[in-house]
Amino acid sequence: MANSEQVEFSRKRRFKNRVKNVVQNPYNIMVLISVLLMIYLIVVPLGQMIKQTFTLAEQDAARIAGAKPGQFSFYYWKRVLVGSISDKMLWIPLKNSLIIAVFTSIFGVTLGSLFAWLMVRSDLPLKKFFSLALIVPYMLPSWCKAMAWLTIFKNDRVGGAQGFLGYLGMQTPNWLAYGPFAIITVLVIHYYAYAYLLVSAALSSINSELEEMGEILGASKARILTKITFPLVLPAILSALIMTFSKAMGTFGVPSILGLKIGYYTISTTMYNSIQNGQEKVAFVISLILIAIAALTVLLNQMAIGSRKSYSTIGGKGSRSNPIRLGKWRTVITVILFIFVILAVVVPIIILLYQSLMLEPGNYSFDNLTLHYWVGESVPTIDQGEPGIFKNPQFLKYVGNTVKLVVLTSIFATIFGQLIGYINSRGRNKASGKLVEQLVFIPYLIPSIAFGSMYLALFATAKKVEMFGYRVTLVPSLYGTFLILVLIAVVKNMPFASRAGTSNMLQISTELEEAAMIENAGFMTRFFRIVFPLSKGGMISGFMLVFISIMKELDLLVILMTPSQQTLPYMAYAYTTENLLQLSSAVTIVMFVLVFFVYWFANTFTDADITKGF
Amino acid sequence: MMKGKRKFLKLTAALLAAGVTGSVLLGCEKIEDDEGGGEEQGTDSGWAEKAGLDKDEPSDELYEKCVDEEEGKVVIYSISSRMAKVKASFEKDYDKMTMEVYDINANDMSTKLLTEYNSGIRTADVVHSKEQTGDYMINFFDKGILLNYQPESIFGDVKEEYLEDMTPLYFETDWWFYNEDVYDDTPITNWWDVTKPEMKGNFVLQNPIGTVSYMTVFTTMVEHADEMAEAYKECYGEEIELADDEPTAAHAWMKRTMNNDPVIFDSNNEVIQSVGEGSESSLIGYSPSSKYREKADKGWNIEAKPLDMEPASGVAFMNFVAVVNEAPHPNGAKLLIRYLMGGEDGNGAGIQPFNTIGGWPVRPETKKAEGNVPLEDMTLWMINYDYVYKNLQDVQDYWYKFR
Repeated sequence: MANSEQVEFSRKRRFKNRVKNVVQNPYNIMVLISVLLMIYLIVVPLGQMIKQTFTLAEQDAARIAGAKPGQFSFYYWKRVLVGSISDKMLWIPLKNSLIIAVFTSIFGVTLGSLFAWLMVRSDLPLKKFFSLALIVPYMLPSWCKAMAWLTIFKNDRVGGAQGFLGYLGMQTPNWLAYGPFAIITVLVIHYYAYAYLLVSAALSSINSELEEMGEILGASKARILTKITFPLVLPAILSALIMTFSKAMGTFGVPSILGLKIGYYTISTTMYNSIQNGQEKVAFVISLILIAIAALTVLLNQMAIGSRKSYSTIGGKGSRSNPIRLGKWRTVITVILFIFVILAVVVPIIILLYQSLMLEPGNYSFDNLTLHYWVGESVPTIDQGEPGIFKNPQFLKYVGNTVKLVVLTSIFATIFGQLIGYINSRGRNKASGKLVEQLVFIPYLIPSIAFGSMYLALFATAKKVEMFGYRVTLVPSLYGTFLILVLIAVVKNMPFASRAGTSNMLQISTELEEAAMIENAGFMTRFFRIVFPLSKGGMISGFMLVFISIMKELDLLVILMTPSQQTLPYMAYAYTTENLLQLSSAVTIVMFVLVFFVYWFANTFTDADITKGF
Repeated sequence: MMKGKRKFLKLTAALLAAGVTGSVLLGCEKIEDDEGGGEEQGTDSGWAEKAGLDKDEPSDELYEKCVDEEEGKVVIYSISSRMAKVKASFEKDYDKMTMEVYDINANDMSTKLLTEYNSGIRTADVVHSKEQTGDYMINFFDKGILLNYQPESIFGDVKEEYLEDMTPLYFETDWWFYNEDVYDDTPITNWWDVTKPEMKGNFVLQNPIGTVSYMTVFTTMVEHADEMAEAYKECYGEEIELADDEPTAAHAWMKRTMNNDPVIFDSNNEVIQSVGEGSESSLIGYSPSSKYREKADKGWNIEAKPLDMEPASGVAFMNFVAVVNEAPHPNGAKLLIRYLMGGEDGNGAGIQPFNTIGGWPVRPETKKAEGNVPLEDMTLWMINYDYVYKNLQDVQDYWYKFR
C-alpha cells in the first residue's frame, strides 16, 4: 500500500519536475518569446496579406455587378492568373524574371565561387587588397551600377546626351544597352558577392588535410577539386544559388532602369507599377506568387542537401591550410582579377565621382568640372536652386536619419540574430529549433516592396479589440514613427543576422557550456561570461552585414517613410528621378564612403571578417 | 536551494522582459464610458474656424503671429521641385521664417498624405498637388482633411468656377515636345502622327502604368472618342476602320501607339531630357508643359507647338494649394499660401517659379510669363472627374493588354 503511494508520489513529482524543467529552462523561454514575436511580426502580416487578396476594395467593387466592398472574392487572383491582361501582368514578366534570375544566379555563383576558391585556397598575390576590393560592389546600391552602365552604353534610342561610347563615336546596339543582357551583367557584378562570401566561409572551414590526403594518394589537382573540395562546399554553393536567385527575382531598380526603355518588364517592375497606381491587392497576389516560387527553390535546396546541412562543422579546429600553387597561371589570373576589379569596382565609382563634378551633364571635358554640387550655395538657375549637398540642411538631417536607422537596426538585428542563432544551434535536433529557423527565413522570401506595403497595411492605423472591459490594442498605429522603420528593417534582415548568429554559435562547442553548468553557472552567467565573449568577432561580422544592407536599402522603406524621415538612398533616388544626376551621384558617394569607412574600420581594428558572417 | 531561487529570479526577469516587449507592441487601455472615439476622421470645422481660415489678415500681421506663436516655421509637401526656389525667396523676404519643403512624387502624394493623416500625424501645414482623377476632391476635400484658404484680398478677382472645390495655384497641361535644333517646325500636329510608320521607336512617354496623369489623358480621350475618329480622318484622309479589339477610335489610338514601339521612361524628367539635351535627338516626347522652363534652366533645345495639335493638345490639370486640417502652424500656412499666390498684388516672388511658359497662374493681376500661349487659345479637354474616376481602370487594363 505504502509502496504504491510512494510510486504515485514519485510519479507526480517526476511530472512536476518535468513541467518545472520545461518552464524554467531559459532555452524554452527564449524559444517561446521568439516564436511569439515572429508570429506577430512575420506570420500575422503575411496572413493579412493573403486575406487582403481575397477582399474586394471599394473602387473594385464598383466594377462587379452586385458586389459589395469588403466581401470575399477571387477577383484579384482571377485578374492576375487568368484575366485578359494576365499575360502582360504576370506570365511574360514572370518568364523574363525567371530568365534573369536563372542566368544571374548561374553566372554570379560561378564567379563568386571561383573568387572564393582563389582567395581562400590558392597562393594568389595581393590577397589583402582583393579581399577588400571584391566586397566593394556589394556596398554600392545595384541601381547605381545600372546608371553607370547607361552612362557608358546608352545609345540614341533614348535620345538626350550621348553615352560615353557614343561620345567616342560608337553606336551601341539596343541589345547591349538595354534589356536582359544588360540587366544580367549588372546583376552578376552585384550579386556574385553573396556566393563569394558564402563559399569563402565554407572553404575556410574545410581542413586542408582532406585535400592533402588526396594529393598524397596521387590524385591530380582537377580530381581533388572535383572529388573533394567541390562536394564539401556544395551546400554553400547551393545556398548561394538560392539567395541570388530570389534576390534577382525581386530586384526592382536595375530592371526598371535598363528594361523599361525597350518595353522589357519583369515581375518586380510590374508589381511596383501596381502599387503605384493603387492596385495594391494585385501587387500582393503577384508577390504571393513570387514567395511561392522562392519557397519552392528553398524546398528543392533542402531536398538536395538533405542531412549535410550542417556543413560548417566539417573538419574541426586547428586546421593549417596550405595554399594550392597556381603556377604559371598565377600572373594570368591576377591580371584577369585586376581587370575585373577595374571594370566592376573602379569604373562605376569613378563614373559616379565624375558625374558629381560635371557642371553640365553629358559634357565630359575638364573645364566643365565644378564643386558646386558638393559645396555650392543655391544658384537659382542651377537645378531649381538646390544647393550643393553640404550646404543643404536637409542633407545633414537625412544623414542623421540614416545613421540613426542603420545603427539601431544593426544593433537590434545583431542581438536578436545571435539569440536566434543560439536557439538554432542548440536546438538543431529539436522541433522548436527547426520551427524558429523556418519562421525566421520567411521575410527573406518576401520581396522588399511587398514587405513594405504589407507593414503599411498592417500598421497604418491602430487595430483594437474589446476584451473583458478593456480595449486592447492588437496593432498600434506605427506609421510615421521611427520605430516602424527599425522594426521592418530588423525583421527583413533577420534571416541574415540569424544566419550569422547560427554559424557563430555553432562554432562555440556546447562542452564549454556543459562544463560551466557542472560548476553551477546559471544560464545568464553562461551566456554573458562564455557565449557572448567568444562570439564577439562573429557578432561584429553580422553587424557589418546588416549595416551594409540597410545603408543602401530603398525598396523596403520607401513606402513607410514619411517625408521628414527620409534617408540617403531615398534622397539619391529622388534626385535621380528629378534628373539632378550630379546631386544624386554626390549623395551616393557619401553613402559609399560611410559604408566603406565603417567596414574598413571594423576590418582593421576588430577581428571581424564579413565572410565569417555566413 | 540558492540555485533554485536565483533561477526563479531570472525566470521572473525574463517574463518581465517579455511583458514589456509585449506591451510596447500591444498596449491596452481601460474602456472609458462614452468615449468620443478618436479614430473617426470627421470634419472638424471647429479647427478651421479657430485657425482663422475664413479671415483675411494681411501678410505682415500673419508674419508677426508666426514668429511669436509658431516659432517661425512652416512645412509644405509639394509635387514640384520648384518649391526649393520659393523656399529661398520666402526665407529672404521673411527672414525669421524657416520653410521646410518636402518634394514628393505626384503618384505617391495622395497615399502618403492619407496614411499619415489617418495615423494621426500632422507634419505638413500646406499641401501643393495636382488633381487628376477626382481623388483629392472625393477623398480629401469632401472629408475635410484638406481645407481651402481663399481670402478675399488675394482671390477676389479669380474666376468663381475655379474656386468651387479647391484653391488653384496654377493650371498646367502636357505638350508634345521636339528638339528645335533637329526640326524646323513641329513634327507632330495630330495625336495620330505617332502611329505612323516613320515615328516607329521615335517617341517617348513616361510609363502610363503607374502615372495617373497620362491615364487621365487617355481616359479623357476615350470620353472624346468621336473627336479622335475625326482626327484620324484628318491625318490619314480616310475613315478609321476599327478592329474587333478596338472598341473606339481612342482605343485604336492606344493600341496602334503601343504597336509603334514607344520608348518608355520612368519619369517625365527623363522624357524631356531625352528630347532636348544636345542637338541630335530626333525623339519627340509628351511631357508636362511646365518643363518648358528647362529651355532656360538647363539650356535644352526643346520646343512645342500646342496650338497646332488635333483634336486637342491635352487636358488641363489644376495645381492646388490647401491647408491640412489641424496643421501645426496655421498662421504659417496662411502666410505661405498668400506668398505662393504672389502676395497682395499678385506679382510677388512666390508665384514666379510657377509663372513660366507652360504654367498659368489664376489671378488676373499676375503678369503673365512672356511668350506663353494663353490658356484660352489651346484646345484643351476639361477633366470630367466623375467619368475618369469610374473608367480609368478599364482604360488602364486596355493599355496593359497591348504594352
